[in-house]
Amino acid sequence: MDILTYIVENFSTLLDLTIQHIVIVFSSVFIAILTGVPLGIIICSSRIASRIVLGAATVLLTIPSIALFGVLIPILSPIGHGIGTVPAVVAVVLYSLLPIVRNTYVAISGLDSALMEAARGIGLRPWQRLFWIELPMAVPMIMAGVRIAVVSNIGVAAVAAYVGAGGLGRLISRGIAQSDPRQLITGAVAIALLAVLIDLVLLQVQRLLTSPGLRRRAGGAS
Amino acid sequence: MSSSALRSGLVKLLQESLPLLLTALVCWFIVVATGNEEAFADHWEDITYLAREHVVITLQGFLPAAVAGLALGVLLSRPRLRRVAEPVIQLLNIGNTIPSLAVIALSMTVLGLGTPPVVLALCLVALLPIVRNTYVGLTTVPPDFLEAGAGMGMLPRQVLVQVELPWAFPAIMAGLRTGISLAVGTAPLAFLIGGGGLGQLIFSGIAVYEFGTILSGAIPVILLALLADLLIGLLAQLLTHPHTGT
Amino acid sequence: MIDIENLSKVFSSNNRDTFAADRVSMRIAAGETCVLLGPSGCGKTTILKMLNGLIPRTSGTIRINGRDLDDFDIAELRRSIGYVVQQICLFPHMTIEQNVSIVPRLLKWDKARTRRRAAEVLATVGLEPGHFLHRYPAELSGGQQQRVGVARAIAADPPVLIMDEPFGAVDPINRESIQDEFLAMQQRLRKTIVFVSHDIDEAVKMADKIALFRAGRLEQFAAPDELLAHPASDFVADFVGKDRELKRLALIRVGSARVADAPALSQDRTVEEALALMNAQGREHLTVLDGAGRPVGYVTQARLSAGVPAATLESAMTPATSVSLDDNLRTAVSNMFRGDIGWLPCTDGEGRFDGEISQAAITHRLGQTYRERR
Repeated sequence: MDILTYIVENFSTLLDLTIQHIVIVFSSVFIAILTGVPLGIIICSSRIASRIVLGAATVLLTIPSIALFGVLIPILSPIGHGIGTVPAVVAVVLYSLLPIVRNTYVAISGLDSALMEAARGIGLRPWQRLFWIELPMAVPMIMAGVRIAVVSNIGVAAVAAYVGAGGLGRLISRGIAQSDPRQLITGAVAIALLAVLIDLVLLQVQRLLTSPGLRRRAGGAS
Repeated sequence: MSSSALRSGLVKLLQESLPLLLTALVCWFIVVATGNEEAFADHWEDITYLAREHVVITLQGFLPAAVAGLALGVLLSRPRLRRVAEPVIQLLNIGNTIPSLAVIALSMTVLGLGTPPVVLALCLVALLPIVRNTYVGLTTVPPDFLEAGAGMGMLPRQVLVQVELPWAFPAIMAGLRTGISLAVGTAPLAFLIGGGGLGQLIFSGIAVYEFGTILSGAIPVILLALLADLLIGLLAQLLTHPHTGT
Repeated sequence: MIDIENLSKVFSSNNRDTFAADRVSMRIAAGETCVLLGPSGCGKTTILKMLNGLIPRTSGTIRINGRDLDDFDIAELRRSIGYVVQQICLFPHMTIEQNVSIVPRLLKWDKARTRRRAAEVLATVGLEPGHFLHRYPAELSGGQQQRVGVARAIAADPPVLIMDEPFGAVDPINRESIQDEFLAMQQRLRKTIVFVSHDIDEAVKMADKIALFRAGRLEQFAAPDELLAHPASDFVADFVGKDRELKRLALIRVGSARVADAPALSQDRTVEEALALMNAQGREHLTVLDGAGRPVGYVTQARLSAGVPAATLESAMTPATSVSLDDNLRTAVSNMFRGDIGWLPCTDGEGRFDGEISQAAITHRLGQTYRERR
């Protein structure tokens, strides 16, 4: 029961670290959405661009997180941010780009061409097609990408504690360094719980943002 | 094998290894741009030794995961176990969201420091996608195929080997690919609980803020990860088209 | 009114030019339905899509109500032309109301007017607005979706409608009734309609004018009866089929082939009276009527002369079907075949007896156009 007493005694620290963790992940994913969705839309118009961008993003995702931090440190140190929150945010943004760009690209390039021609034939201008038809229809896919990005990057942000970023990874790094199973287990369980909970919450958000017309269709297909 | 098949095979190989080659180029550029060629050369002995260790622990974790994952996926997909299968898969899906650092840390609390907790953690991390993909692949075989197999007089085991597994093959290979990439991604963390590997250079480099040491660990890790992905991708293609040699 | 002059479209691939439209000229009058007909790959869809600029022209001019296509802003032009496609293409993430309101919204109608109009057009295509407005396309059957597709096209009341095989995706059972409803709607709305089809029967049924294409060339541009009776080339004759005379049946109303002075008697008259009447007029048969003058059966001279143990026609007659003057000859012939009989009594709008129609009269009516030509 050491762990419970530890949690109770350090509750405010725990809360702080959790909030730090969430802030790192969500602000980075937010940046990734702002850049990734437009990127995914733009590359729809060029096969070569889409292959290059998606290929690069796939390579990026294959790179283990601590190795990416390792490469980012020498790159970011000239601007004074080799260690700290900045490499964490940069890494999470980079990792989040692939699922977001790819899902945006797949959703929009996969739209029924007859449907898009009908949209043109009715008299929608390009911007109107994007905002009235393409994006609303791509929302479920884009949100699925966002969900994957957020959940997988909760783990990346945990490792970021080793390059000096805050968050729940601190508990694990300290737990290992001090051979303190209380911090270690609290940290590991808290991160695992956070990932599972946020996945559930985002699933609900995805459902809310999806038009009921698309939801029924998806439901009918499965 | 004809020469044209050989040539197209070589072109394919080059295409597939392009990401690895380009990444190596970029990494080398970073090493040169930050002025760390010498440090890299100084660490060469460490790099080769630790890389070997790195590969060994990754395989020690991945191979049992591959065998167990396949077996478990096949078992769960049998009609007799269908009722327990769904909750188990749900559980695996949840398990899949648990970050690898947490898995490593929890493994340490059970098995202490050293290689055993690392192998356990890598095995667990790789296991989940393999089980899930095998199960999904096997349960989405069109019923017509199963009936056709049974109708020809195949025994359940023959249906499994000759109909179901070939159908599920791409899904199974995708699971193995995800599994190995997760194991490779987690392996650098092994150093934290005394498991060795290239993580040693990265973490100790960060601790003393020495770019040369960090890069000596990080770059081989990156290249090994891409190499593992490349190899399993090639393996999948070889097994899919054994006669064309592509 | 749509004026097409020397319209050409060339697709180039592998240094080879293919004409999807080859110097096509035609004029579609306001309020007319023109069906673009032809085998697949003949360019009919390409020509249709050039009308709203979905496919750019290679050369030639298109004028809509006197205004050259080049003078339109392309999006504005499309909003003034209702567009219906085969795949229906309702936007799945929008409710039926949002789908139908899309062009009024583009035209910046105010909310109240848009809403009123959405309900109105749904009613026009035969869908109960209260039941359908807030549903999503996936909840509707194929036929209902097609009606919504038409409603969306006419929502902003465009003078021109272009339709690309609009009923192609509807199952054959519902297609007939949707075509009928569409015809009735067109009777009221009187839009200028350009309609692509590959089905000669559909074209004959829907069109005021048929434009038949082959490999981008306009082979014949004529009213359906003219096309069937006087194909301009062997290709046209082939395309409309060996049974083209049978197809013409669908175009001619029973009324125009009817024999007016046919004998009929009320069912309470006697067999002797019937025989006398038939002898007097030199007929083989006569129609038996009920008290209200509606045909209920017939008697033939052969049977009555053979001696029937009945006093009145009511018990001596054979029950018969009839055909309305407004039906077409195809229905009449079909009923004759079904009853194994060479003639049918005709009825007026109230179902009362009004002459009869016979196979000889139909043959005579179909031959009329050829005698006039000679």
